[in-house]
Amino acid sequence: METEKLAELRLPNFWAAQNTKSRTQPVISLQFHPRDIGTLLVGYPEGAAVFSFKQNKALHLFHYHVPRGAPGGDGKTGAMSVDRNPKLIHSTWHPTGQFVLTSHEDGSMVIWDTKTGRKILARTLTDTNVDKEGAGATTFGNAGAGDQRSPIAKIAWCANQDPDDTAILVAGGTSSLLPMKGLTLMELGRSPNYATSSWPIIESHFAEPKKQRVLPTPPQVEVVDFCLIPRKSPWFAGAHDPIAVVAILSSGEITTLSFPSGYPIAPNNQLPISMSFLHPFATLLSHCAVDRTRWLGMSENRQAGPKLLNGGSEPLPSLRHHEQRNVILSAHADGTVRLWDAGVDDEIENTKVSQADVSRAVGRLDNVRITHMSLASTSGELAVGTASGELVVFRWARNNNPGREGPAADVNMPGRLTNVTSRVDPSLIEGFQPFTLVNRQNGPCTALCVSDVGFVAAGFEGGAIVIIDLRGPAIIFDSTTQELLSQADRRRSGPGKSPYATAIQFSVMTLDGESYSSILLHVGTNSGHVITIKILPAQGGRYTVTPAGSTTCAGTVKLIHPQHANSLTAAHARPQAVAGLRDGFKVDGVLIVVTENEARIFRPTSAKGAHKTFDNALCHSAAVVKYQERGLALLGLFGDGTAKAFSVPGLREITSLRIDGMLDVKRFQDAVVTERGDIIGWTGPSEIAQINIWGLPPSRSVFLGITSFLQRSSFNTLFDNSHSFATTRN
Amino acid sequence: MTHLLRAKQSGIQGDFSESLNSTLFAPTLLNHFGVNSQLTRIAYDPVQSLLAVGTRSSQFGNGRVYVFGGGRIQLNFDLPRKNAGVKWMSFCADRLVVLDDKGDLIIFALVERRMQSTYSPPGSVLSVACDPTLDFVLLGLQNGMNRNTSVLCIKLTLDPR
Repeated sequence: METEKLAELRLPNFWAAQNTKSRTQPVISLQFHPRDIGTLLVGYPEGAAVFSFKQNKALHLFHYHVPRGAPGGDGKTGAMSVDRNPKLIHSTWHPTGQFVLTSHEDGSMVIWDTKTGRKILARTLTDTNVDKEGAGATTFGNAGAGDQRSPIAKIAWCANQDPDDTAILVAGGTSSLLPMKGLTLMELGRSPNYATSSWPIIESHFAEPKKQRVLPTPPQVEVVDFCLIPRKSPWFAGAHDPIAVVAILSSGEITTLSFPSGYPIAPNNQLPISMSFLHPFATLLSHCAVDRTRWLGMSENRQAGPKLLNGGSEPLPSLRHHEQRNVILSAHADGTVRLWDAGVDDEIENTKVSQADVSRAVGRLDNVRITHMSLASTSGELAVGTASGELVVFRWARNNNPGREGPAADVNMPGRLTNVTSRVDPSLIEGFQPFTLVNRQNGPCTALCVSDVGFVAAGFEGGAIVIIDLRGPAIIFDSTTQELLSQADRRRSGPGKSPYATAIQFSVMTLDGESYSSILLHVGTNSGHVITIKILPAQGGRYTVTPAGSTTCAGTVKLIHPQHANSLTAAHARPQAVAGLRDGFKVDGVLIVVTENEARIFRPTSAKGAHKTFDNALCHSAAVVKYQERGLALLGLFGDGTAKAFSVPGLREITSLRIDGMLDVKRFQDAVVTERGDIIGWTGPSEIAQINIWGLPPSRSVFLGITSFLQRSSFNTLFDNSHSFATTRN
Repeated sequence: MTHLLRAKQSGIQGDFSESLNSTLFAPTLLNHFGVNSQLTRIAYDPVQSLLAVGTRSSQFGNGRVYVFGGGRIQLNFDLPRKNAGVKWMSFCADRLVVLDDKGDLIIFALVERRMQSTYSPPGSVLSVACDPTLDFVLLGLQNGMNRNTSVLCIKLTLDPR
C-alpha cells in the first residue's frame, strides 16, 4: 500500500500574524477559489482569510464584529450592551469568487467583497443589517424568550447554469419555534456587474433576494447536512446547476427534494434500494415468491425527473434466472409500501421498485402505520393493513388519467367497502392502484392474506375476521373469533379479551370426513386456535362461507402451511387447484402449524394430529422450506438465537444453528423465512440481511457490481471543454 | 422413536425430510440491503454519476462507505480503523477522499475497488479541500504542529493522466 506523502507546503496561521494575542486557531473551513486554483479561502473561528499561493500571502482578512447596540444575528437584547465577535462556523465563495460568505454562530451571514475586503452586508435569514446600531428590522429579536435560532448547519452557494446567477441554500438558521425547520433557499438572481454597480445596488442584491422560501422537509426534525446533485459538472464546490438536494435529517433519515422547486422526490428508481431504507425508515418487512412472468410485467411507470444515478457498469449477466422471484415488500414510516426483487444469485431482469401509496389510498397523510402486507404471487393483488384498522387492496393497473387528480372519492364508511380507485397518485402511469378499502373499526390489523384466487382475509385486534371477494368487490364474511370458536374453546382461552387472528392462510384441500375438496380459510389466533372456514361457490357466481371447526394448539400461532399429504408441493389456493375443483379434483392435505411453543401437523378441521413442543425457546418466525425439490423441512427462528430445522412429518430436530451473529435476535419476530430457504431479517434499525440456509454462494450482482467503474472519457471531455472557468483554472 | 409415532399421527404417509441431513444446512449471507449504522455524510459525483454515503460507528456496526451507481450497482468499503465513522467525504476524480472521526485521511481507489492509502496527520483535521484537477489535498488542522502551521498539503499518488 502506498503512503501519501506530506508535501513541503505549509501555510501559516494568518490570524496569528494579525492578532498576536490570538491563540492557535483551528482551521474550520477550506475552499479553493472557484475560478482560480491559486487562491484559497480559509475559515478560522475568529474570521476568514483569502490566501494567494502566487503572492504567498493573505490578501484579505474578514473579521465580523457586532458593535454595542446592534442586534446581532441572535437579537438577544441582553447582549446588545456589549461588543461581540461572533465565531465563524463556515465560509464559502460566491460562484464567481467575487464575494465571500461567512456564517457565524449567532446565525448571521456576512457577505464580503473580495476585491476590497469590505463588508457588504450582515444579515440573518429574516433580518438585514444586524451589525448596525439600531438598524435592521428586529422583529425576530423582540420575540419572546425561548425563541432561538437553530444554528446554521450548512450553507452552499449554488450557481445556476450561468455562474453569475446564484442562490444560497441554508440548512438551519431558522426560528426554533417553527415546526418546519427545513432548508431555506435565497434566490439572489443575476449578480450585479461589479465594475459598474454602486455599493447600494450590490448591497440590495444581497439584502433583498429575488425569492426566498423554505424547501419543505419533514416536521420537527432538523437538516443536519445536505448534498446537492449537480446536473453535469463537479465545479463550484459541487453546487453547479443542481437538479436535486439530498438532505440528512437529525432523525437519521434522508429526504430528497427537487431543486430549486423543493418538491419531494420519491427514492424509488432514483436512489439505490439501500438508501430507500432511510427514506423514510423502513418499519416492516414481508416477502412473496412472485412468478417470474408476473414480476416482469410489474415494471412501474411513474412520472419522474431525470435519473440521478447511472454510473458504474453491470457485471456480465448471469445466464440463470429463477422462475420464482424473491420479492421483498418493505413498509415505510410515510405510509408507503415498496416492492422489489432481491434476487436469487441470478440475473435480476426487473430491477425496478414499485410503490403502493397507502396513505393516499387511506385518504390521510399522517399517522398511517402499516402493520401487515400480503401480495398474491400470480394475481399481483396487494393487501395492506394498518394500525388504525384499515384494510386496503391494491391492483396492478394502468392509470386512465395520469397527471390529473382523480374526483374526490367517497368518504370511508366504517365496516363497508369504499371504492378508492380515484385516490391514485396522479404521477402514477402504471403500477399499484388503490382498489378497495374497508375500515372494520376493530383495532389494528393483526393478520392478513391475499389469495391467488380473488379472496382477501384479514383479522383485527378486536377479534374480527373479514373476508372480501375481490370479484365484487364484496364483503362475503364478517364475524369474530368469539363467534367462530365453540363455547368450550372460548372458556379455555380465558375470560377478558377475545382472541384475535395472528396468521391467516388460504388452501384447497379435503376436510376430514368429506368426499370433496373446497377452498378453505385457516385462521390462527393468539390463543392457539386454528379455525377453518369453508368457501363454497353458490348460485350466480357468489360464494357462501361456512365455519367448519377448529383445532387447539399451545401458544400464539405463527405459521399455517397447507401441505399435500402425498407430495412435496404446498396446498395453497392457487388458480389451477381451484379450477380443478369443478372437475371433482381432490386434494389430500394436512396443515403444518407452528406456534410460539409447538409445531403441529394435522388434518383439518379437528384431528389432533402430531405435535412437538419447543422446550428451550419460543419460536418467533417459521416456514416450511424446500431443498431442491428433494425434501422439506420446517425451519424456525428461536429466541435463543438459533435457527432450528425439523423433519416433516416426524418433527424430529434435524439441526440447530446459531445465527445470532448474522441477525438481530430481538427482531426475529419481524424476520421472514421463505420457501426457498432464505432468512430475511434485520441486522440493525435500517439494514436487513438475506441469508440462505442451504449455503448458496453470495450473489454476484452485488459483490462484483463495478467492473469498469469510472467513465474516464467523460472526465477528459470535461477538461478539454473550453468552458470559461475550465480555462481560467490553469 | 417419537418422530415415527408422529409421522403416523400426522396424516402424511411418507417422510418428506428423508433426503435431508444436518450437513446440508449451512447458513450463508447472500446480501445486505440498507445501511448498517447512522448516516453521516453523502457525496455525489455528477461526472461518474455515483453517490457515496458514509456511516458512523455504533453498536450496529463500524463506520462504512457505500458507493452506489445506477440500478443495483453497489460497492462497500469498511473504514480501516475500528470504531471510526465517516466525518467528511468527497469524490476527487477517480478517488474517494474520506476523513474519519479519528482523524485519519483515507483514499479509496474506485476503479481498482480498493483502499489506496491512509494517512494520519499530526493533529486533528477539521476541514479538507480537494479538487478533481489537483493531485494534492489540503488539510485544515485543529492547532497544527505548532503555531505556524495550520494548513497541511498532502500529495496524492495519482495515476498520470
